[in-house]
Amino acid sequence: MRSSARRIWGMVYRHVALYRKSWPRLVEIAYWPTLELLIWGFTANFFAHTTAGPVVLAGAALIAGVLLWEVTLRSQIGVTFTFMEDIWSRNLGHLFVSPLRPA
Amino acid sequence: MDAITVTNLSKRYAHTLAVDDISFSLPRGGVLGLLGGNGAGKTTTISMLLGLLVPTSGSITVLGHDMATSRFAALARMNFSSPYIALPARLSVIENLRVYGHLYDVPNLKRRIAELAEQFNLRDLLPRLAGELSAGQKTRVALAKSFINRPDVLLLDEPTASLDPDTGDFVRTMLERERAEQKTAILLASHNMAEVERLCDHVLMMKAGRIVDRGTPADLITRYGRDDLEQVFLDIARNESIAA
Repeated sequence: MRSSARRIWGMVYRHVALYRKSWPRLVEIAYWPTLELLIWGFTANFFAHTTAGPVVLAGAALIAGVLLWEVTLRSQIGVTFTFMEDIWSRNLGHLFVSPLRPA
Repeated sequence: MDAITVTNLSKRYAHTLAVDDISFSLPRGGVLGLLGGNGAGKTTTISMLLGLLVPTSGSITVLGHDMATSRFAALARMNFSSPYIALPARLSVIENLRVYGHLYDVPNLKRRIAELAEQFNLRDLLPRLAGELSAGQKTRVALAKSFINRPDVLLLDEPTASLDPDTGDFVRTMLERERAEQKTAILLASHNMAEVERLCDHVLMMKAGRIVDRGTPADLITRYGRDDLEQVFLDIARNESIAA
């Protein structure tokens, strides 16, 4: 169990080390969710002032959904980027012969 | 118990028989050379030993573990290095060593990295990005990574390919020292015959997927009536018969 946790931390550390030294990656994490929040926030705000009742509720649900989708999308893009970099670095061979195993 | 036992191993890709019914063993602390021309089946054999390829038939046992059923138990005590497989270019050398130290669950990792930096002359390279290193520096880092878990079995695919003579000699000296200190069993695939003569106790000559001859470097040289292993290699590659 302890070994497994250590191996998982090894993979997490690989991403932490990468993000720590790359401000474009860090900015990108916050930039798109912030942009989505502003766009849909202002849109929902507009409808909240021009209509009432269920439309406001739908607007809030829409913003929450969009933000959740953006978080999922950013996570997926992060994993994909790292995977592509492992392919470009020709590092996958090292990972596949390590004791890292599927759960 | 041998470090590696291979029995009747074969690998077929569609219409090509890459490895054809080979058997051999590597004792603990021994160094076995896997020689052969391009396409002889060396890399395919190493890939099967690491569990990267599934054999078409035959069995592989590493440190008592059957690679078909308990591969991960063996992998924790093995390691691998090849100039054709690199480390993540955007991570520094020390970050790469930390990542693999965690993956191999190395105890006291900070001290182990310091030891490796000392042994492989990496102290100045630790903060540098892996992608910015020269071929010789990358090879030293890859070898340090391959020794990070003090492996009982080490597989090396052309460890000194594209290195200058000085760096090549440094790597060979390192391998001799690590083998002596840690009793690591090493399987070495190489095209450098002088290196094989220097490092290997036993040699397997492969051709078209088969082991066509085997023995100690001195035995092979005597048997073929040649002056060195390179001439023996050429005889085998060109189908020359054994002298006398």
